[in-house]
Amino acid sequence: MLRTSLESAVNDARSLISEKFQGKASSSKLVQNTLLTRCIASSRDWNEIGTMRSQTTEDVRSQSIPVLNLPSEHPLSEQGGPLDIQAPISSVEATFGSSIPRSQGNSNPLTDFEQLHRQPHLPCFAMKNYKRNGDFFGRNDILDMIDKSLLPTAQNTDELDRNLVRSFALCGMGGVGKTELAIEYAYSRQSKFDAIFWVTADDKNILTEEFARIAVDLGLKDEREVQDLTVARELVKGWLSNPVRSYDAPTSSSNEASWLLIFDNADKFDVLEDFWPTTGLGAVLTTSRDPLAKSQTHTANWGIDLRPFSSPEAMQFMDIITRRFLPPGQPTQDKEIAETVDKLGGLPLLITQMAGVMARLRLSYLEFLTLCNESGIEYINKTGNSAKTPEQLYTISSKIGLDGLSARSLGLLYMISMLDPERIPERILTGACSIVSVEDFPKNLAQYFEARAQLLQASLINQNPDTRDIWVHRIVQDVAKERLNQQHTVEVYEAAIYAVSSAWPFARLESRFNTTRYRECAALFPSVIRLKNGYGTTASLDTFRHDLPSAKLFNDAGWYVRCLR
Amino acid sequence: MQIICDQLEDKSTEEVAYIVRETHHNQGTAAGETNDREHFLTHSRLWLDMMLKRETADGQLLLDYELGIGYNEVGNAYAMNGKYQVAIEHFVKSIETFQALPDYEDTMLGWPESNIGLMYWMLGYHDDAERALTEIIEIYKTAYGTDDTNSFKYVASVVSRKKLLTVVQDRQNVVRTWKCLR
Repeated sequence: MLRTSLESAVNDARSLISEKFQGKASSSKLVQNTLLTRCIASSRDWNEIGTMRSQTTEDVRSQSIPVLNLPSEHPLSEQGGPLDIQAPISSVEATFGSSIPRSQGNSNPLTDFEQLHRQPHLPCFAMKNYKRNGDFFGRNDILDMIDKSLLPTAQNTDELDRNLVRSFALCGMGGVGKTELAIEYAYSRQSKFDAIFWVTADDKNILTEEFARIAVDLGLKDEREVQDLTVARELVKGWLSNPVRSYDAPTSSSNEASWLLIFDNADKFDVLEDFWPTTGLGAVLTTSRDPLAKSQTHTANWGIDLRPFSSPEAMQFMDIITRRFLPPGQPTQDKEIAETVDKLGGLPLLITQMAGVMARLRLSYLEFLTLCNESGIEYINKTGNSAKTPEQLYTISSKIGLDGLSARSLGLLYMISMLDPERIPERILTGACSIVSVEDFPKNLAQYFEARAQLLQASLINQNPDTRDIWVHRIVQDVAKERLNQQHTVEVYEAAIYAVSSAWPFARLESRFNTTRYRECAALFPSVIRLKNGYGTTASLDTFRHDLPSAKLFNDAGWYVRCLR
Repeated sequence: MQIICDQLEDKSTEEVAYIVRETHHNQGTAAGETNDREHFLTHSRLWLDMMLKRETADGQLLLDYELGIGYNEVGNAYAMNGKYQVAIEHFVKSIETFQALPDYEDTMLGWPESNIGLMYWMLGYHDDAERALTEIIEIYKTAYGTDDTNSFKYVASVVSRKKLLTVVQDRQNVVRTWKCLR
């Protein structure tokens, strides 16, 4: 097999090299690829001579693109003359065998490892199917912030700085508007970059495909040639590192192109390792649920945790997107709008989604709120969805990131969803590990930390770095609770009662006025209130049994708050 | 809590009984805080009546701290309903209960004795009121020092009734202590 390949390769090489040296039309890519593919057969020896660094893929053919020409003084070229293909040779020798014997060749050797490039097609605006959202609202402060990090500044003229890739990470929970913001940034700053590329970065295989698509969009590869994805990726990375407008033009700043690469959904940092450009006149914008993306070497120099809209922003946004379908001349409904956006947690995704539901079902705000209180957001969303099949149904829980969580992470999130969203002292949760018998709740600290890490990584919960208190968005709590069936609701609720009770500093009658416990009580009391408020609903479920711990907890907490008055 | 306790399947244990009593106590106190005199008295009496049914192993009335506080609270409820003499009887019962406890300490009298002082003042017995209040001030001064910041209940009971300060000799001390607490 090797022998046949070599024989054929040498023949191809002779004609190809002859063409090149005689100044004829540039070699056909097809012939080159055939030649090189045959030459190296299945060897990594190219790496040994430094042609191209090892790739993560096992497809060694991908490393065969450069046309290697040895200088005449290279010892291996001393062999001279036609190769004796009868002799046993290594694939390395075969590779070198394609070099031109000095006696036959041009006295001007080609530059080592020269790569034959197609000219880039610029400007290039490769946004996949992402269109600009005409309803995009607000966030101007964040767009400005991204500008400051990504756009070259007048002060930034130092050669070293110019060649460093600038980056910014947009972090936050699902539905907070990271992707929409990145899309808006790309469209609104289109004139600032010669090339903008959008890639989905949640999986290495997908990302490889995405880079291959960029290679085509940028004109570095023909669509018919991109079967070799790793080659395509390296071509793109090569251009990002050396972003020329034309390969024919001399090196100068005027021949440099600026680019913006957007990694969307970059929740796993290791996925980016093979794709992160390290040099070049470019900028990288990353969206990620993981707040650590702001500080990862491979993801960002700068970044921000994107928050849901403030109440006034959310109201304004809701008003804008519902105005088009609500009958004109409606009285001001500020109160209902405020209640609606509060229920939707100020999340742009949910506001947009529910506005669509209101439009489809012809609901007024009041009707929407009534339905929402009765049925829950997830149900309304499905009811108002025009999709026909279950697969098409858009689930809120999947969008905000609950799907894909481990069972323990979900177990922890369910417990968290019963407590006060603003402040959950972590000792409630850590203490619960050893006393709670709910099946999926972490049973020890190791399991707890693992589950907590996953929830933090998905930005479903947050942690105060000073107090270590957990806080969670209300909408996450609501959606999490909606996933629970009746029995599970009762189990988690009772577990939460036990968990808070174990942390609550109960006072004996004799020392009930002692103020030393007040600080501890203050931290836990809001969660007790949440549990008390949820008691009626939970107690109405069939499997619920009234139990003493809740009475003890509510009694003592009631006494505590009585003392404060 | 009342609803929860009513729904409990097993109400026979002392633990449940304690929670039920505590619930009445809390409801009575909350009613008193909101000037709901009727419910203050109703719940406080229910609480006390439940305690008076408790017995020791040899059939005697069980005396404990809770009973002392119970008498005091019912006394407060009667006082709020204008029945000062009945109230004083309950405060005295409270003091007697505390003094009968093996771990009795004078500071246990903080509530009932200051309440008796208040009742005397309401009834116009100013000298008796001054004597009672001065005594409890001294008890607390001895236990916790001049600037007592432990005794929320003592200070609150005296200072919240500002007019009463006119009969308290150590007025400046009380005011200073109150400020510390705030």
